[in-house]
Amino acid sequence: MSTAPVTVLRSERWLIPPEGVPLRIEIAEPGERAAAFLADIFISTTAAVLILLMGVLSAGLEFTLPIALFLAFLARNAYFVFFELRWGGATPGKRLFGLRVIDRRGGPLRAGAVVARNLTRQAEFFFPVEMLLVTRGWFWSAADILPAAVWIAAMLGIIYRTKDHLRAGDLIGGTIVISVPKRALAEDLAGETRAFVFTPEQLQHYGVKELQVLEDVLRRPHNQDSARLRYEISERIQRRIGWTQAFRGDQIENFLRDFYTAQRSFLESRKNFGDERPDKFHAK
Amino acid sequence: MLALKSSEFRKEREASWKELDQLLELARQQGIASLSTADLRHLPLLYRAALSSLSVARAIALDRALLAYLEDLCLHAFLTIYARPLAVGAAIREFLARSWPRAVRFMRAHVFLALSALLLGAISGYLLVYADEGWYSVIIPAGLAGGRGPASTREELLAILFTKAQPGAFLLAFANILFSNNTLVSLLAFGLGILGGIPTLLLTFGNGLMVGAILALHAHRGLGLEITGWLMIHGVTELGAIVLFAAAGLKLGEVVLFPGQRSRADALAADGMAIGDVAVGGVLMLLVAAVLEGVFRQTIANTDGRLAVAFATLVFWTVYFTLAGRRKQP
Repeated sequence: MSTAPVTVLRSERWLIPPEGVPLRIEIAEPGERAAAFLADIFISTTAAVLILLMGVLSAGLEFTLPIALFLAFLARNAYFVFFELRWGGATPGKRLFGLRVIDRRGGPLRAGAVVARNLTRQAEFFFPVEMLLVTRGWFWSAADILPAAVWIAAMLGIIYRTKDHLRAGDLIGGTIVISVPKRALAEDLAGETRAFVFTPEQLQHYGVKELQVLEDVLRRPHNQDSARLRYEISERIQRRIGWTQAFRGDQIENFLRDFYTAQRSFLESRKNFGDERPDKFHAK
Repeated sequence: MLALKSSEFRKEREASWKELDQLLELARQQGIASLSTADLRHLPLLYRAALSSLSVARAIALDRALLAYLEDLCLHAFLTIYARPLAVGAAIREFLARSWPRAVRFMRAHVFLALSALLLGAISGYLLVYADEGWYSVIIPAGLAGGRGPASTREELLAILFTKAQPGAFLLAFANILFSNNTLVSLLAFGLGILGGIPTLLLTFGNGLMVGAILALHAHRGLGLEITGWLMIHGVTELGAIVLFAAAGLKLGEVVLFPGQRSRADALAADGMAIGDVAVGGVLMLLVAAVLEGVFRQTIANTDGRLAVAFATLVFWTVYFTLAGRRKQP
């Protein structure tokens, strides 16, 4: 079982499901979305090329450029719409990066919203890119690049200026792209070993924040760096709480785990009594 | 003494979380339809139990890994239950039978405004060119004139109106949508709506001008009916699409300029569905217009037939947009 880091870097929103318990959602970062998009483009373009090849080989139609471009248009739009409908807001690329499209207000995802957000991509992204492919002279001139560049900049501007990183398609479709990473349930660090016993006075010093930093440290995989970190932290804790009994170096892990268990038990019971201690400055 | 409430809580409930986790994984890999009836009945119960666990954990537990796991589990369950995959066929049926015509009626004021701009343009173009053909080249850029202009004779124009069909026209007709002027005008009219609607109205008016100009050029040479049939067999549908795109653009501009009490994003989310539906419907109309132009116009090489098809499409779209999807949802 992996003990993935639980630190959250994305910005968070609350979504209220019909059951009334607010759920925390994490807004997908533009970088993740770009990566998922590139993966999708790669897959759908490969599929479109295969279709084209099959068409040329079998039908013997005159596959002129307009027809090829039209099929490419179909492939890249139908691909997104189909998967977002069938997989409830995910495409292969989005699934790869743990992203999902959901309705911004917590309702079910509508088919119209899916189609609208994906057709808008045509105007948002593909048209300006196609504009960039066409040159009037033998090389790109400023006049060739400028309109498309302004266009793309405006669209990127929408993504970065809206607070939920919405692109124009999301604005029109009423959707939002969130990240839904899958976290395994890590083992409970509060163990049963009672080699070290702490007095209530010794547990007065720290708050929830320090406790959770200690949790992160204890969940780190064992190696030289983490061993040194554990050693330093145990030294600091001993100094802070006035721990006087010396113990062997191989007991550091046990000491920290027992301290974690005792501290968590203490803080949880304080919390039950309405005395929340967010960090070590709670006394001041 | 050191009985940790959060640890006990976790031990007590962990089994039901794991069970929910497994059901969700199964649903993710093989689709929610693959779950057995018993599992399906169990799923919402487990979901609500997990939600209650989450509430309790938020209140009593300081174990960050546990909280993160429960947050994730509940979100995955929520998405599995509420953001279900949609049946593509049912979605299309729902769109055609209800959403689209309702969305068009929802913004009928905008549709009428766009339609007026188009008609006003057509009338102006017709009057201008009918009075002085010098206007023709002003209104219609050389690239779009297709070899027709004040210098054309009646015979040249007739030849264009009744050209023979080329083989493979069907696919090419679709393909040409992408490169047709009207598609560009449609998308611009929609997209520029965000600038407050004025560019949208101007574009629609300008498109009307071109239609009027072409009509006048032919009418001068006694080909009024012939050009009407040639243009309108697909023009009713294609201009209809432009009107829809322009209406959606106008609505978009209205929402962006006057969001009222709501934030712009919220206002867009509320009206965006209708806007999106109308625009998506516009794309469908462009496809239909392409078939009419690429296939029907070539096979029906007489003016009466073309006019009949044009009239039929006019009646169809009018009836469809005014009457379809009026019944309350069962």
